[in-house]
Amino acid sequence: MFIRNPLKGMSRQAMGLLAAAGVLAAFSAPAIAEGWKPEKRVEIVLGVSASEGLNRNARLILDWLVKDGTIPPSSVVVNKPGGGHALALTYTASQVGSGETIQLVNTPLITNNLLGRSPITYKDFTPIALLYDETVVFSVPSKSSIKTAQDLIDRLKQDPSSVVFSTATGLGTVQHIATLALAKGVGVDIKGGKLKTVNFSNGNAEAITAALGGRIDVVVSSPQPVLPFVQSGDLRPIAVASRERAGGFLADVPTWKEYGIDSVIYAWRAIVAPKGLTPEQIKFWDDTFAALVKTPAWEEEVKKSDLNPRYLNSADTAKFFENENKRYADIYGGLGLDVAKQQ
Amino acid sequence: MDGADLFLHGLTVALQPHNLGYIVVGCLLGTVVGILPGLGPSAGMALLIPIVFGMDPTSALMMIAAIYYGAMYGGSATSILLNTPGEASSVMTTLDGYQMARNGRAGAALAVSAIGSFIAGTVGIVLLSALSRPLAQFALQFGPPEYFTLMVFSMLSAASLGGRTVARGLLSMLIGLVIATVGIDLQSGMPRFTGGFPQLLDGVDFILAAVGLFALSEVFVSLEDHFRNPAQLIGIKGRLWLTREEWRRSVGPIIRGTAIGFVKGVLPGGGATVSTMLSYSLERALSKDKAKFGTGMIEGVAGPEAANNSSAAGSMVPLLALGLPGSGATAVLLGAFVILGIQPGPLLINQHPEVFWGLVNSMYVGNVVLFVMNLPLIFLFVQLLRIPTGILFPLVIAIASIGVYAVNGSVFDLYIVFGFGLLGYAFRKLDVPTAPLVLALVLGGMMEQSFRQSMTISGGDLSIFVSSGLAILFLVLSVLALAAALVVPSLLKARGGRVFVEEAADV
Repeated sequence: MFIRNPLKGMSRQAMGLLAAAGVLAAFSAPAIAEGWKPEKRVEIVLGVSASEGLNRNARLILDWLVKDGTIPPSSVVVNKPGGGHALALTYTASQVGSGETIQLVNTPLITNNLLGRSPITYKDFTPIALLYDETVVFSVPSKSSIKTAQDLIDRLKQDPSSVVFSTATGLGTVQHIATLALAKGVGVDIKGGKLKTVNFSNGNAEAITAALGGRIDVVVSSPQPVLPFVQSGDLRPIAVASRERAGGFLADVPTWKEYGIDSVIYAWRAIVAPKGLTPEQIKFWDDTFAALVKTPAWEEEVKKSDLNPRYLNSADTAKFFENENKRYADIYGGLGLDVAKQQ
Repeated sequence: MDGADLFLHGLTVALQPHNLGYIVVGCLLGTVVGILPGLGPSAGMALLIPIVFGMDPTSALMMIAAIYYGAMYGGSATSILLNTPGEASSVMTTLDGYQMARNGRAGAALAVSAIGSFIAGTVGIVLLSALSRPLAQFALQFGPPEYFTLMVFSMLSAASLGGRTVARGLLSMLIGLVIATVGIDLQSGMPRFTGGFPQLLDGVDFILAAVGLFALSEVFVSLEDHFRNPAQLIGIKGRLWLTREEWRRSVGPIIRGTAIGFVKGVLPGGGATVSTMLSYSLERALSKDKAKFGTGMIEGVAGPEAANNSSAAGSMVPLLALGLPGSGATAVLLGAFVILGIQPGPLLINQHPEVFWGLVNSMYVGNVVLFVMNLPLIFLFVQLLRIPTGILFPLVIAIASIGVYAVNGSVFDLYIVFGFGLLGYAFRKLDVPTAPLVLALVLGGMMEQSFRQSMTISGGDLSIFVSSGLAILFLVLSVLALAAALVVPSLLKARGGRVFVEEAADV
């Protein structure tokens, strides 16, 4: 459909050569095969269970790449949930030199290590691509006395402990950081224990339940989980932690920047591979995703899911990770969350 | 189209041949998932999601939902026959179900499970289709403080399962609470007691504890018995089916179990498992023969088995009416919706009536399918009891290992199960009951989180736990449960009335 891999024929030729040259020649294969292509089944590793949103993206990527003939039909998505992507990252990092293993991962790639949860860092992987990011949106129940972003700012200034935030599934998540940054921008003493942020294990569903039941004042989340409740009129998005206004149903929702508050953060999704890949293997995956993000099917899915397209190639993703790692370390330090250093 | 039209339209959707086929396949898979220890409905559904990716959403959801309620039927079989809970909500069934089997009443226990499941499932779905909107609004009243007080009540109810002495029961429960603290702490984000094992970051899954403590320790203990004096096989005494007397004793528990299960299903937290605990405790409290619980009382099988089925139907209420799952299994179902491209929410009924009504009606159909399917299975399952020990025990270990391994593909989980097996063996030798540990493991994590969520919301003010009618209700019930457990027996003793010897209740 979209990728007509020019190296496909070459690869077969190379294989033929290899077969003819025998086993010994195989060890010098990289010199011959300038085009590499996975011949074994590809594993797309995922750190969440099959029931989570990220899984849909992984399945779609698998579907598209298999239909196109880019990867063998026996390829699979491997779900290794646990420890906030930690188990899956450990697994992928251990597949050193395997061109047939890639992982779809999000911010825990960087935050797990900074928060002292895992010794594995982004440096243990070969960056392949940055795919997209998600807006962090602040929503309130419609019957709340907080109607606008300004109302929330005023309430926080008046009495920060009168507002209860839900910040998804844990400390140090992008939702949590966005909330802390908002509070800091308003002038709340975030280390003083005045700010109330609650975490829920089932993430957004429990948080929305608690908000509709009046226990939570502000739900901080990605756009998709709140969309049905915004459509039904139960929740109202009041602000986004973005550089500029988001699209879709959030088009009219102001950014915190518009109120002079420096709360800008995105939840991104990237593809990484193990260390020790040959340049040909890296080039294969780099080309594959460069082509994938240009397909209409991809663009449609990104639009439908309220994601922001943000493609970066392998080299740029490497720089991006480095910058993000530094930025998060600074943010955690500034917010009093520099746990890794404390240990 | 008005309500009745939509309902009938949904029924025709569910009865279309291809959908009927998917329902039957889902029911079969659900039964298998229920039977395999370790592999519960959540994991079973999650395993199937990749396969249905790209299918027609209505058919796919019918099949996945069938796994959920199908597992509720299947879970009882291994609990009764092998003392191995097939899934979490069958833990309570092992207490009296396995003893019934040892008394030669395996057929009756299986039959009452199937009948109770069918009645409860069907009543649950009727309530689901009639009252989902108002019930879902009620569920919204349930925030962290209500959640916490409910957990306190459940925990105190479970304390009555203590066994020989209160101290032994508490010891077991405390060990369970300690194990429940392992993993990433939700509120601070920090790993606790993981010993550097990334596999422990999400804590210890209580189903691993249940399989180890119940199934493996049973194998170990029986093995020892076998070497000391080769055991005779457990036969079947009397008729395979229920006697009139057994049926008479089961009606009340089934009705009460259905009610408890459905209400608990609608409310978030703990899902079917907590409802079975409450049902069992209630039946024990109402019974005149409290001491006989744990020795093969059919009430202790009928109530919980009804409760877990109506709970499955009840938990569909907040999911379908609001798009808000209240339990682990419905969270997986929500994931299935999302992956199939449907975002469930308050508008699901309006935006996708065919999905909503098709799914609800498929549950009626599925319940009939399961009932019809399970009756002949009883005759097949009781044959398991004829398998000689030398073959049966390796079989139990193999089946348990497959079930546990299938969930995460993790060998580490198998080590944990084995560890719990040894612990369970030690417990039995020391006469410490194992059930409180498992129940504390189920409740402990949720109890701690909801307590700390409440504390964050209130800024450390404990009065939040008496800030709503529901929370007060659960606290009052907790006090009553405690009073019933402590005061009533001593009152009876003081009056010189009939006192049941608690020791007899011990397994």
